Amino acid sequence: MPDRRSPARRLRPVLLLAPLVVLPLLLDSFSLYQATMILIYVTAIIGLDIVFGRAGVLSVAQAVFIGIGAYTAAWMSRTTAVSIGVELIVAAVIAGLAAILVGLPALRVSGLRLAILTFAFVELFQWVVTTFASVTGGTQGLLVNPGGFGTITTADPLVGYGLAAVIALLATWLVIRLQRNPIGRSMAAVKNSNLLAESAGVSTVRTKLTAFMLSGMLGGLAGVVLAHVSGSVTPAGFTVFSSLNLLVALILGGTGRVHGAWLGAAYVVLMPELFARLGIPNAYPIVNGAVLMLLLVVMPGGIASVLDRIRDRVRRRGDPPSPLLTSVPGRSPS
Amino acid sequence: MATDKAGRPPAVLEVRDICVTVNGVRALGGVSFDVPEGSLFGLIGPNGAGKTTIMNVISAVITPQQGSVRFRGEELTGTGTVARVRAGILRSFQQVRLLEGMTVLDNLLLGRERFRVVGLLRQIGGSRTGRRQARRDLAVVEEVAAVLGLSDLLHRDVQDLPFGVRRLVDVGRAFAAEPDLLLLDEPAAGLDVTSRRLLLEAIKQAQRTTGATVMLVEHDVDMVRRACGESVVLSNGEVLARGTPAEVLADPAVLRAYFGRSDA
Repeated sequence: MPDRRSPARRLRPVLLLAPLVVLPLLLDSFSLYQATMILIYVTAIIGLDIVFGRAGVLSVAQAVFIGIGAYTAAWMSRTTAVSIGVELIVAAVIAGLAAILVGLPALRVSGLRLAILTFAFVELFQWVVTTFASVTGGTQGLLVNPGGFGTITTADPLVGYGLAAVIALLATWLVIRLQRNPIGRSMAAVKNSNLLAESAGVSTVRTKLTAFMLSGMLGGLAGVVLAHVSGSVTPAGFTVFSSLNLLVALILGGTGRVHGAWLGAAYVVLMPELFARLGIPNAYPIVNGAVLMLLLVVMPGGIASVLDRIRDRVRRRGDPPSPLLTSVPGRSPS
Repeated sequence: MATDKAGRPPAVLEVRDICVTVNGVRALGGVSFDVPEGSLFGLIGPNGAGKTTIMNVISAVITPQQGSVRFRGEELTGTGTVARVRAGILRSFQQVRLLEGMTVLDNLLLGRERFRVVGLLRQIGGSRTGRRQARRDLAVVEEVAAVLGLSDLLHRDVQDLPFGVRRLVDVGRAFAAEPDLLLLDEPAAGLDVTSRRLLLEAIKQAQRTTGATVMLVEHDVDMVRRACGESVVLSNGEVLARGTPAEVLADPAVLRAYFGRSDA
C-alpha cells in the first residue's frame, strides 16, 4: 500500500531520530553518560506513565522493577556468558511477573492506599536484597561485568548509549501503539472510572494487570541498561525516593503524553547537573520543589500539555466550525 | 420479526420480582415488566421512584436481594457487568462519562470494546485479525457518528465540546457497541428544550438505523410520550402502570404520583 502521508509527516521520524544518532559523536564522555542516563530514565518513566498516566493507578514501585532488572543483569553477567539480549529478555519477564504481583492489590484498593501498598513492595525488595547478601551482595551491592553482543560490549560508552537509545525508542514505539488502540482506550476508561470501563465491556482486572506488567517490563529493561552503564548495583539506587523521583519527572513532563516522559527525563537528569555547574547544588531540591508546585498549579498536565495545546491551536486554525456546535447549544461542561 | 399471540414482538428482557434494599430503605419492591424486542420502551416515574436502581440491576452494577433478569430467555442472575455488555446490554449514565482528553472518535471506539478478541501482543504488534477488526470498528463508528451528526467532530477533544454534544457522544458510544438492548438513563438531563428535541430525534434515528431495543429512562413524561411505544411507570419502587404513553398518562394513579391529583 502506498504511503499517503505528506512528505513532512514521513520525514518526521527521521528528523526526530537524527539528533539521537548525531549527538553521541559530538559529546564528551561525561555528557554522553548524561545522555545515556536520560534515555534510561525515558524507558523507566514511560513504564510508570503506562500504569499511572494512562491507567490511573498510583504506584511507587517502579524502582523495584528497575532494581529487579539491574540485579538480574548483574547476577547473570557474573555467573553466565550469555549475551545482553538474553539478560534483557529474562529481566523483562521477571520484572513483568513481579509487576503483576504488585498489581494484584490494585484490583481491590486504589489511590493513596494503593500507593502505600506499592510502597510496601519497595521495602520488601530492600529487605530481600540486603538479607540475601550471598546472591545480591547485600548493602555493598554487586559489580557488573560488561555485557554485549560478541565483541561489542558495554565497556564502550557508545554501546551503552546505543543500547539505551534502542530501548527508549522501543518503549516510545510501544506507548505510541498503545495510545490509539483498544488497550490504550481500555486504560483510559479504567483511569476515568471503573463504572465507565465495565459498562463499555472493559475488564478492569485484565486492564490494570496489563498496565502493571508492561510497566514492570519496561522498568526491568531500564534496569539492565542502568546496571551495565553504571558498572555496579546497590540497593540504595532502588528506594522509594528513586520511585518518587521518577514520579516527579513524569508529572513535570506530562502524564499520558509520549513526549512528557522525554521532557521529564531530561529535566531530572540535567537540572541537578546545571545547579552543580552553577556552584549551588544544594539549591536544586528547593528549586525543584518550587517548580513542581508551580507547575501543578499553572500547568497540571505538565510541560508537554502546553506544547500540545499550542500544536492543537495551530492545527485547528482555519477549521470551519461544526454545524452541531451551533445547533446544539446545550450548556458548557460543568 | 416473530410476534406472540397478542401480536407483540417477543420480550428481549424479562424483569421479574426485583427487590432491592439500600441501607435499610426499600428502593425496589417486587418490580416486574417485559421489554419487547426492537421497541423504544419508556420507563418513567418521579424522582426517587427507583428508575436508576432498576437500570443498575439490569446492568449488574448492583445485585438485587430477590428476583431475576432474563435476556433473550437466558438467566442473567449472577453474571457481572462486563459479561452483560458482551451479551449485548449497554447503558449510558445520568452523569455524562467520557474519556476526557481524548477525541470523539476514541470515545466512540470505546464502545467497540465488547468485540475485542485480539490479545495483547497482537494488539501491540499488529495482526491481520486486529486490522480487520479495526476497519470494521471504524466503519461502524463513522456510521453512528453520521447518524448523530458527529462526523465533523470526530477528531475534536471531548473536553472542548459543549454539554449537549458531550451527551450525544455518550449516547453514540453506546450505539457504536451495536447493542441488542440499550439502557439510556435520563439522556436529556441538564439540556435545554432545543437540545432535548435534537437529542431525542438523534436517538430515534439511531434506534431505527441499528434496530436496537432501547429502554429510555426519564422523569420527563413529555419526552417519553413523544418517543416511546410502550412504557412502565414506577413509583416508590413499584410498578404503578404499564401501556402506551397515552394509556399510562390517563391512569389516575399515575396522575396522583406525578401531580398529586387524579384529574390533572
